[in-house]
Parts: sequence; C-alpha cells; structure tokens
Amino acid sequence: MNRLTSFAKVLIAIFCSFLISNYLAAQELVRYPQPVQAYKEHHIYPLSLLNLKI
Amino acid sequence: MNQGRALKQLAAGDNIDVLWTMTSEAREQSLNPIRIPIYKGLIGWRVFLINANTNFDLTRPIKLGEVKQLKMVQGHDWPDTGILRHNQFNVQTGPDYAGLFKMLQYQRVDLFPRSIIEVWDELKINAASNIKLEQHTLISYPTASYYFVSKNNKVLAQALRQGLEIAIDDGSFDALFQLHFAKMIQQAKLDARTHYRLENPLLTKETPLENKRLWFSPN
Repeated sequence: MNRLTSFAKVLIAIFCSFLISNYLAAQELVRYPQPVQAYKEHHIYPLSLLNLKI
Repeated sequence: MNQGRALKQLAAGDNIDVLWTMTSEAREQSLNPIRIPIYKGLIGWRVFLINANTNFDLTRPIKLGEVKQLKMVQGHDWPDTGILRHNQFNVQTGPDYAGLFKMLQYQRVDLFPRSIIEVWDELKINAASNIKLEQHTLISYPTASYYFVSKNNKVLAQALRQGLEIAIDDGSFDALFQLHFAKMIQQAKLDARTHYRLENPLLTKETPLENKRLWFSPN
C-alpha cells in the first residue's frame, strides 16, 4: 500500500510539473513569439546570398 | 541560440559549418572570417526603437549629449555593446533577443538601437505594443557582418570567398542586396535624420574599408 502511495505521489508530481512547464511555455509564447520570428526573417537574405554562386 | 553559443559551436566544429554575424577582433581571432560585408555595412546604420510613453521630446532630433544620458539596450554578447560603450553611451544588456524588447516595453531602458535592415520587421511584429520608431535621429558606425567558418575549414572558406567575389563581379550580389534592402533604406529617410557617426574600436586592420564597392553609402 505504501509503495503504491509513493508511486501515486511520483505520478502526481510528474503530472504537476508537466502542467507547470506547459503553462510557463505558453506564457513565453504569449510574450515572445514575434521577435523570435523577426530574427528568422532577418536571415533570409544571407541564405539567398549563399545560394547565388556558392 | 544566442550569438556567443553559436560562435563557440562553430569554433569547436560542433554542428555548425557557417554562420553570419557582426565582426569583431575577438571573433576574427577565434574563427575564419570571409571579409566581404554581406549587408554592405548597413548593420551599423542604426535607428532607435523607443517606448511611446517615453518622457523625452519626440518632435525633434535627440542631441548627442542627450542620447548619452539615455539608457540603451543591446544583447550582452553583441559587439554593438562594446562599440556603443566605447562611444560613451549608457548601455544595459540582456541575455536573450526577445527579452530586450520586453525591457523597452517595460521602460527599463529608453532606446533600443536597431539597424535599418532589422527594424521594420520588428516594428510590424510589435505593432500592438507601445514600441515605436524614433523619427529624427540616426547613429552609424563602420562595421561588417561576415560569414564565418571554423579555423580548420579552409575549403569552405575558399568556396565562400570565391562565390561571393563572382557574385560581386557579375552584379548578382548587388541585385540581391537591392531586392532585399532598397525599400528599407528608403523607408529609413536617412536624409531627414540628424546623423551621429561613431567610432568602432573592434574593427581589425584587415577590414576592407578602402574597397568602396563593398559598402553602402547614402550618397
């Protein structure tokens, strides 16, 4: 019974940490999606330049 | 991935063969630079992102002395930080790109200097926020973004150098540059801005400043 209870606690802890990390990730997405995208956009030109003659 | 980490991985030959970034003496020492400025130096032409709720006067150019009093923000591992500090600007730093916008949004800093080829996408993306473009002031410093490869990768370095030289000679480099940046340069209204030219202490003596066709000039 004790072993089962411990196992259940571990499962609950894992589930809670999963929920928390997803929540934090979602917060990051709400705050930061666009500048990160801009950073990618800004690098289209060097990739095109690499494709010219190299 | 931030610039510092990418540079370390490139130097160590760890998953990265080539990257493009602004040059500095330290970067040229630890890596193999292809000394052709891919943005023709435009990366050193900077306008200011500001917070619309700022309390300084936005109806006129900011005087140089005033710019030096205001708090700027840059990435902690960007060469720009050292360049701006060398020119006596008050520069705060942050570890990640996205967080720098947040610092401006929350008015922990006053100015976020961005190059005239970066700023437009960033403005679009932040259109719903209180981040705006200052309209009257421009700073610039001589600098270059190069392709870098690792010290050991001489074959790739040679291929890059040759390819870029061919593209410059046949005009395709300039055509691509114009395609991507002509509108941005026009949008920046450089002539209408008060322009402060800064020094860059991080440039090496190998920088091909004398080869005028490699560099953007507003005239």
